[in-house]
Amino acid sequence: MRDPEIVVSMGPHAHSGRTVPRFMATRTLSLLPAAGFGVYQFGVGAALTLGAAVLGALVTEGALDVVSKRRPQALDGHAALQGLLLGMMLSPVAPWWVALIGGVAAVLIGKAPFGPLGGAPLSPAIVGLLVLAISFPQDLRQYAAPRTADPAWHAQDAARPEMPADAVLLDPSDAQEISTFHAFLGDQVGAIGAISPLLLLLGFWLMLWLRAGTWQGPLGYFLGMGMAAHLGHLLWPDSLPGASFHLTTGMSALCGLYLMTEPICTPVVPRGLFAFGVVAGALAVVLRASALPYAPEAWALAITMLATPLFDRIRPRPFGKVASHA
Amino acid sequence: MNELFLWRRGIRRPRIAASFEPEAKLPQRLVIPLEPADSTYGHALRVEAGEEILRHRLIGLGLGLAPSLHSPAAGTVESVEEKLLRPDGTFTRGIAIDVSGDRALEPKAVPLAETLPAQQILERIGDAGVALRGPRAISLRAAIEASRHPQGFLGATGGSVSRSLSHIVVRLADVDPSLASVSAAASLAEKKPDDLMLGLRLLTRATGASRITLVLHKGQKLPNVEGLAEELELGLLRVSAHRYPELAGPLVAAKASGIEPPVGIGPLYTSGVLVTDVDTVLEVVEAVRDGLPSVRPFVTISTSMEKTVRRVAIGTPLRAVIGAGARAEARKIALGGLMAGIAAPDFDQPVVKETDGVCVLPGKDVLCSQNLPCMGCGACARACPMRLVPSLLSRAAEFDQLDTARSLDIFHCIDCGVCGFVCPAGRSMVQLITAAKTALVPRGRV
Repeated sequence: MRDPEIVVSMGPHAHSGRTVPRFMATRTLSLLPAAGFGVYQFGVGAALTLGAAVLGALVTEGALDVVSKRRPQALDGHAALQGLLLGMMLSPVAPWWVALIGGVAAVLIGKAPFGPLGGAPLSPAIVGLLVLAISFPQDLRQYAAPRTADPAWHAQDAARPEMPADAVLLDPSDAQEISTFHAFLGDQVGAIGAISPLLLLLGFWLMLWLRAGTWQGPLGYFLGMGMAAHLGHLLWPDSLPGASFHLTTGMSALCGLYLMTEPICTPVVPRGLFAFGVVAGALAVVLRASALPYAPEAWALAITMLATPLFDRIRPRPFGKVASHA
Repeated sequence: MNELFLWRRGIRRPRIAASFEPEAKLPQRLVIPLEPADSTYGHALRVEAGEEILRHRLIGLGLGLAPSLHSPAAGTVESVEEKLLRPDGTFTRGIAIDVSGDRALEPKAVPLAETLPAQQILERIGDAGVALRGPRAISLRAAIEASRHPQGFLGATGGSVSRSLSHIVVRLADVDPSLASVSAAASLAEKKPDDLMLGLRLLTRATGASRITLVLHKGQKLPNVEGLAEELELGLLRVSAHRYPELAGPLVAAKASGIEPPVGIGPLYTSGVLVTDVDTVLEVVEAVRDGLPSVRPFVTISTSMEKTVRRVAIGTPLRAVIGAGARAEARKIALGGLMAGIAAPDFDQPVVKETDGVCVLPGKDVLCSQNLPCMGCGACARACPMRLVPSLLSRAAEFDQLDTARSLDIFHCIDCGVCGFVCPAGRSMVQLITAAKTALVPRGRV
């Protein structure tokens, strides 16, 4: 009997079964509860916005695959995920074509120039968002009241179309009006996917359980944000809200739980990731107090992400390394 | 502050249950590979082509760190220049023996072995070719002597930290849960605890060690062994049954002694701790008390049809070890466990002293590495037992950034394969890291 042909390769000869598509699918799945709630609260327009963002990103990625004849990447789920994240950070009444342009920009500017998956220094969703924030600021800053909102909110929103975060920073006494507990549950005005920290948190636990994310980054983010916010409130109680406000806004949750756990643009080592989170969270609080027109948290993350290689230098001492030996 | 964020390093691997069959049938023909005669690691030929030999005859004298080789069978030496393909793709020569008859050399047994002085114990261990298993079999005698003389060993990184052995750690479970060789030997020790006690006493006397720790996993029930540990006041360590590589040398030495031994400077036995397995201890007893050479390592044969541990004679080709049914469906054969084993290039590969397992993988279990670029997800960094960052190491290796690799402590890597196991991008992590290590060593840039 002839011997069968056998394969020779280096170990390990077993694998966990983790793949990139599964990783991306898990992250997308964990975003769906919050996205779904956003659609419920804001109606079909929100669904259109989300769909347009995802479509823009996917089609661009697919087109690039065809044009550059590279290994097809459109179906590994990353482009779709970034499109969804971008859509969730947009206002519910933003026009669909704005979302579409955002999705295209996310891939074209935020991902394509950097080669295959793993090269992008910034999260493509953030890049898309920043492009839109600079190009179409007025379209992004219109808000709608959610379906289940208090009728009083509806009346207020007609007069003040800004995000609650901005509203509070103009007049911190408004912070008292917002019940932290209800805001956490989902009683907020904000971007489509950034109104229910509770659902975002539930999705985050799903992500952790299925090993598609880490907890060190978000922990650092909320610690940094909380400390900076508390410090700010202590120093300038009349102009800056306290930590409980900052920590329960939907954008904090979205940025802190999902954008912080992006694998590619954040540090590799957990303790570096923690430090990264602290800096990003604190910077988000600082930028929220500044005059940035839109999404200060995203700007803060973008700035910190540029410093990721620096945070990669924070590493544990290897096993058995003796300090005296070179 | 190295475990600031406490999570379990390593991965979860189910531990196999295997039956134990003491002796494997000898094949018609044995081919025992010989290293070229080299003073640091080699063999000096001790037989000629055409010679009639008896079982246990010395056929290759171990030089340097190499263990001596003996024939596991009686017969005729057909050739001493048999060309053998090694798993790493290089060729070596081997001694081919046509097996016939069953006469053995008279063993020089010593009934009161514990009364022997240390030097004689070491000599008998060396004469029998008892070896420490690892990527390369290291003569136990040479290892013990090297730990006393710093100039006796030059590590991959050029230096040697040499302390004499003060602690012996004996594992009673396999490092890789896909094997059961050491567990089988442990069950033998359970049936004959006096042999284990003798082995420990002989090793203590030969090394001058003052501490012994036995390591079991949490699922192992060995009442006699535990009783022995209590009676002799030995350390007893229990590790997780399903965690790989909890039982790897440096890790288990650190758990047993409370200090992390230096890694990447020299072999573990030069840092004061000798980590060995219970099958080696039993071989020490066979060598010193019974005068029998070490020619039948405990090998786990793991196929889809059987999971057995047998004492297979060195020189047995794989085709004689693996059943016909398993051979027909084999697509990959890992010599060793599934994590750190080496893929065999053909079915003529002989079992050698280093072999602790033969894992046959059918087609559906053989995976293709996708080798996508690194995502920076950090799964490898969280799993690495040596607290390295395999992601950065693999990227440095991929782009030939050898200085970066060196500054990332690449020589601390123990090639456990956990990083490659968890990588979602399907990267050949171990291959990349090993390539970088190989590139760094000959240039003297270590």
